[in-house]
Amino acid sequence: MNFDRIKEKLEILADAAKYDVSCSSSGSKRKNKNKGLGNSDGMGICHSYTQDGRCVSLLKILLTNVCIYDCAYCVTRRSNDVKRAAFTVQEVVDLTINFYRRNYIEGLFLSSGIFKSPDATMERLIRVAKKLRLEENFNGYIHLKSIPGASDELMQEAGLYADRLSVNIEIPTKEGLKLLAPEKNHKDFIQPMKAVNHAIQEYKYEKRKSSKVPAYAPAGQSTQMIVGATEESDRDIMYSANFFYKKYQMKRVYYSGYVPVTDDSRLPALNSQVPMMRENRLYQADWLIRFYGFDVRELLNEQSLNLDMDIDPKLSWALKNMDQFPININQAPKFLLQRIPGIGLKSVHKIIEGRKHRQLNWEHLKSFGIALNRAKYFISCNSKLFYSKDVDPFKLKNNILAETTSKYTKHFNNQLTLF
Amino acid sequence: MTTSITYDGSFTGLMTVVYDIFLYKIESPIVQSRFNKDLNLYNDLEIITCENKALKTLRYLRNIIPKHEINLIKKTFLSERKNAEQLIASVLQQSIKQKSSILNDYSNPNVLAIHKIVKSVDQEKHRMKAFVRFREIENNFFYAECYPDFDVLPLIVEHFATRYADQKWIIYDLKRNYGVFYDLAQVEYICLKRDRVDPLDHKTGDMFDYEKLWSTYFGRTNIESRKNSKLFVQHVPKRYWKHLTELQ
Repeated sequence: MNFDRIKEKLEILADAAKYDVSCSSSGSKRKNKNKGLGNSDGMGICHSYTQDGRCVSLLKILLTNVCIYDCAYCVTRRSNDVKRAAFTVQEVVDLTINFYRRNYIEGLFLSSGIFKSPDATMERLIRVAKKLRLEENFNGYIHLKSIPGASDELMQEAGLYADRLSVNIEIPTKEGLKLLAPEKNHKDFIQPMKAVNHAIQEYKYEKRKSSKVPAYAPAGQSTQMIVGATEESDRDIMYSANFFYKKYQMKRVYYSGYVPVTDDSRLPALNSQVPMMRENRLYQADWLIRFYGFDVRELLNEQSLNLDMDIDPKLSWALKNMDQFPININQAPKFLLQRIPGIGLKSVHKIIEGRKHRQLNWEHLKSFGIALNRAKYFISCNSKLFYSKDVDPFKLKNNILAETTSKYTKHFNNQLTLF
Repeated sequence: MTTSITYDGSFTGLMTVVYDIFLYKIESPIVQSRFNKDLNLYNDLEIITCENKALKTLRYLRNIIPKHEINLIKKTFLSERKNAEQLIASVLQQSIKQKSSILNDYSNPNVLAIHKIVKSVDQEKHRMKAFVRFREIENNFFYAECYPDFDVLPLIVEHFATRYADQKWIIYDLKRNYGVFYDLAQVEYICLKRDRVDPLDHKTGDMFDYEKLWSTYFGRTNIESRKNSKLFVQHVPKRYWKHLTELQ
């Protein structure tokens, strides 16, 4: 191994890959076959964390940062003056295997700048995955990027070796895309998504008939949207996310606050803040839709184009729908318990199990770890004490905010004066 | 009236205790390990570990308690918390009395305490799966040292044995001075005379190469404008740094 050369390539190609926020290694079951290397049991593992607290689960690198495109938001765009490098297929395989053997990673996340053509790039990505699976008997996690514009045939093949495939839609609206990546076509992003989703459904169907059918992208597809690079509203973003969840059965949509990497009049200035709070609220809304039974239209609509920054989206929804409260902890069905601000899924589980044994009161709820500072206004339980009489939402909001400290407080001090 | 009970500190011992509590109809037992005993307490009863009784207890428990809830008991035991045996004994005593598990009754304070302990043990188990760092000590032979808060090696052995089936490895718990050794065929519990053998002794130059590359990679994953040290330390508490290659 030429240590210095590999080290230099790793520096360049890891640096360029870090803006992709996805690092999930869960959702795939791949057993260790014939005493090979690695297994995935469906549970992801974060082996380390970056200084900004993001999970490091996979070796996340670009195959090359040479790119024929010039998308404004991207570090590796053609016109950017950065050092370029490229790994060989064997180098990526060796790094993956040797990192995996030392328990550094769950597997590989391989992306790439588009060199020559989309097909040539996709073909090279597939070669890495294929070599890992067939020659190294590697059963760890592999996440490959679907290259926009790659042919359906290549996408069909990619899923045979990868656990997850993803295309980053990056810009949530067509108009935004036209502005920032004029050489790319919205359709080029959708096509590989469509091909992969089609193949996933097909293999699933075949698998029901015979267990010998190989797995195809068992951890499904994901995508990422940049938040705050263009003028889109939270409604635009979440409706778009909802579309991908519904239409292409996405496992995850990631929201990535735009990190200014370039001086371009179409984009936020270089020293502007990364919109981390907005990113956080979008993830909360995403969770409400995926796990708490909310419809995206309940959270965002004509009246609410953007999520509240100073309170979480569930509380925000509850304050607009006071007629649905208070909810009786000892009687309400699960889907209603899930709608109470300050109560998460684990607490819902504890309530449902606990109330089989006795009527629950405030003490029980407190011991479950429920955020009563929010929840108490929206529930009744086995007690004469009620907090839910005060139904004026503005007053309530102020009460709750006064009792809450948030790490984001410094960002929204000025917004509070609106009330 | 309470009865103070001591036993030998083993899981088999504790299951014997549960058996005898039932057999002698002891109303309010206070259970403690002989080695971890509160000296102020008068010792009423010393239970002698009996494999036969322990097996009978476990067999009976399996009839009334679902498997995942039996695992809660085992994990609570591995936590080595001072009140662990007391919680286990009282929850099992009540379950046996009712002929059904009470481990899903979150409104019972003992049950809630067990779930809290298990949450910590599970977190430590998950962390060890994540934070164990192997170093190559010979060709295809890897060695890792750790210092877990709870006795979690028995909970992670299987994970590592299926994952690293084609390499030899040792994971060593420095806090409890024992380890697990996988020799390509099976896993064995071992104890190293560490004052005489240091597995990391005869490592040569290029065996470090991938460790250096990993540190290089780790350094490059950071996005400066998103820096959040508080969150970082929350995810990777300082006591683990010593054994993490990338934080050396």
